[in-house]
Amino acid sequence: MKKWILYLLLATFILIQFYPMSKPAVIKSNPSDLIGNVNVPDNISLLLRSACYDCHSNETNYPWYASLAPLKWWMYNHINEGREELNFSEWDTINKLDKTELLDDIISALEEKEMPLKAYPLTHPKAKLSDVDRQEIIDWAEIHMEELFE
Amino acid sequence: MKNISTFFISFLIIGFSFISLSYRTADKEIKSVLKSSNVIEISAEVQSILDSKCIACHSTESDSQKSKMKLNFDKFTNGKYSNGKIVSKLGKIKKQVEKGKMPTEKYLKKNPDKKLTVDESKLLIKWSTEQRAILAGE
Repeated sequence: MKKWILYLLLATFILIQFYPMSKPAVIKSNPSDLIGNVNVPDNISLLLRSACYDCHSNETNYPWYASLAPLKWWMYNHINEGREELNFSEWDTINKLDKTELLDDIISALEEKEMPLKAYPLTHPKAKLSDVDRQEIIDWAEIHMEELFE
Repeated sequence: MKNISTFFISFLIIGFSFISLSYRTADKEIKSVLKSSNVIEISAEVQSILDSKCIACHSTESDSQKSKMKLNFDKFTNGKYSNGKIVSKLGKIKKQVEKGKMPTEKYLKKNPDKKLTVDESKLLIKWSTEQRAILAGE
């Protein structure tokens, strides 16, 4: 009886692998990227790269389990949504007013600890932001917001 | 059996405290400190809309941490918001009002008189657009 359930689970697992869903593309060269176009201090760009860029840029580093359903459905959706809300790879193409609002969103997401998503640092220990890390990114965003209107 | 009813009663108590907490902002009268500054111009008409419909949640004295963290009108004129920040907040005000998202539905259920009239919405949209353009130098 137990064996029967196990086989069924295994069959379902294999079957769902065939459900089509396209993987958000990885683009390594991004001439409009924030870090290449704006003077971002090294410590900040390091934090952004390790805590944000997997979902908020075109340079996603996929883990090995990224091609396994059902996990990949959930992951790909997050990446698509993340890039749509804010894509650092396209930063320079965004107009000044929208940039300001995005910087403001970054600040609230960090203050309210909405970002990074809770599950993400569990598998990406470098993405775990301390309060100091959060404050450093917030301070940078505040300064950059001002710079935009100098 | 006793366990189940204890569980049920505590569930009800917790539920009600959440509901009452979420309506806390509704009962409080807040006096305005809004005025025009050298950064932003707030006409008497706009000020009266902000006073009567917005600052109950979006000011320093508000009980709603979340609302005032997102937008605090006191910080428009007390120097706490940078010009860039004000530009962002004005853009967000414009979008929220255009989409009819503010005041929130939940808040309006308890305070139906706080709904923005069509004219008020138009005026807020015009004000936020103009002030944002001036600040952004466009």
